Amino acid sequence: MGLAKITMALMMVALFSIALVTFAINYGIDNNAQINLGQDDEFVASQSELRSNVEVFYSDVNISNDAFQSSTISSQTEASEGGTQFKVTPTNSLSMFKNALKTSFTKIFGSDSGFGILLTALISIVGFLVGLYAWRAWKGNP
Amino acid sequence: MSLFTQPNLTSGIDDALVTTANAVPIFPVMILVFVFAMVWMGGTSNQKRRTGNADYPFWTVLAGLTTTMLSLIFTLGGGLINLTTLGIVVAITILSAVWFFLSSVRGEVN
Repeated sequence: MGLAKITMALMMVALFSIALVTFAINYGIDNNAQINLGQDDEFVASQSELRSNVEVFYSDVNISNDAFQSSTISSQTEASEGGTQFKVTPTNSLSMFKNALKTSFTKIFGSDSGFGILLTALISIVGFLVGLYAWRAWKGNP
Repeated sequence: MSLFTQPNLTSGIDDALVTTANAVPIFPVMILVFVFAMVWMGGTSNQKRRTGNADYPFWTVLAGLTTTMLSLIFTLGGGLINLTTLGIVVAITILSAVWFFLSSVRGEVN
């Protein structure tokens, strides 16, 4: 299992847990269920911590991509010093990707629902992958 | 001699379920276990028959999700399942998802 795959697996585990618990809680609220998972403090705390973790991952990916943008390697015959042709990819494509998904996500999951973190998580995992692939194209295997 | 007081079947299936659950508290849990096992065994055996391999993590997640949906319906009225049971069902589903996402078995979706 490579770096990209294990990162995606861990992120999907977090997303699945957030989605399942959020759905169960919102299901109970919407249907006035007598038993609601939101009454369980441990699940609510776990969901909140997972959301924080995903937000930290999003911020870390941004920091990591910024570091990648400003990095240089010694000029060699097979690699350019700045790697500009690869670095232009992440920032542009990520904002386009985010804008393309934003409306659809808002329509499906609502603008201020518990599922808002899913878009953040998706953007961050794609950002991580784009950075990883650009780095591999420029410098080789990380 | 009956094992427990017979439910009144003319007042609806939900009332019959609640009455039975009041008499035999393990009854809703037995339904959940039955559904989980049915999806899990049906899925894995059918996939094994079709492809020669069974993706056990995938079918565990699917069985867990099915059970979760059923238990969420059970939460609508009182007396069928309690918060602990719902929590255990959700926890099992999350654990099966961990197994599924970390498994490298070639199955239905990868």
